Amino acid sequence: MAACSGCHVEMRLPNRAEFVAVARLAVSAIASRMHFDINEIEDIKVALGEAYTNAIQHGCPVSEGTEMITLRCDLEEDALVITVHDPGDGFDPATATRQHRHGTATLTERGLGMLLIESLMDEVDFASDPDDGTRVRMVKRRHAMKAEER
Amino acid sequence: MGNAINLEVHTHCVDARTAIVDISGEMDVYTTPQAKTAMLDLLEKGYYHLVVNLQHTDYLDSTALGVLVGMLKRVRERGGDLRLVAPSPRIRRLLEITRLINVFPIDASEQEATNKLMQEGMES
Repeated sequence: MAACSGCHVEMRLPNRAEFVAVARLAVSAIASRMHFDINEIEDIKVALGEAYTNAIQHGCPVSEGTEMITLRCDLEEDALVITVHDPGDGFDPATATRQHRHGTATLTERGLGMLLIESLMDEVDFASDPDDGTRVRMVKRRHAMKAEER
Repeated sequence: MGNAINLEVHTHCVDARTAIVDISGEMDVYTTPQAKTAMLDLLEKGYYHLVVNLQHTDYLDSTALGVLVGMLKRVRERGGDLRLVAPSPRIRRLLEITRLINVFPIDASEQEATNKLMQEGMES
């Protein structure tokens, strides 16, 4: 059983670039306690970093440093569920992803970031609303549990 | 929090138009501007053949990938090229996911990358 199964951890961090590394470290420590393997932890770090960066750059870019980003980790028995919420105006995730798929000439960092999140995590949901900001929910299942399923 | 905590960028010139950029540490939205500034500085001085050594780069995100793609476009517009050296398996995986593995030439060592850039220069 994963450590602290059923617990959750919630942090509110400034929407400033220097706190992306803080968020990555915190989530990798939680994943390590849950006995994810090193490759899974690296996947989680990259996906979290991309979601947090997206929240800073597109969630509330005008007022960097004045808004807070909420990072929530739900520790389930077989999975880590990470939710990143920013209070910005929201955006259309489908458009950002499509920009990447049109090829190198139209590559955008946001498109690359969303592609990485979708590729590295087992489940990803985006919800964006001008009144509620943007919420990215990402699920990573433990490799051992996935192997047992097979 | 200073950038130097997470990232170190060292540049050195091989010849009049070829330079090496050694990047150690973590390249993310906070630290990548430091690497971008160093590469833009080289471009301004006429170094359009760049070797970016990622041997000691522990972490790299979409911001860093975006900057590297931007630099690649800039140097190629000027008749140059940008080659990556020794990305870790983790970084190579990110390049594969984003399909940038097909965009960047990748070499095992600085020497190999430098030789290829010099060869390209002689042929152009």
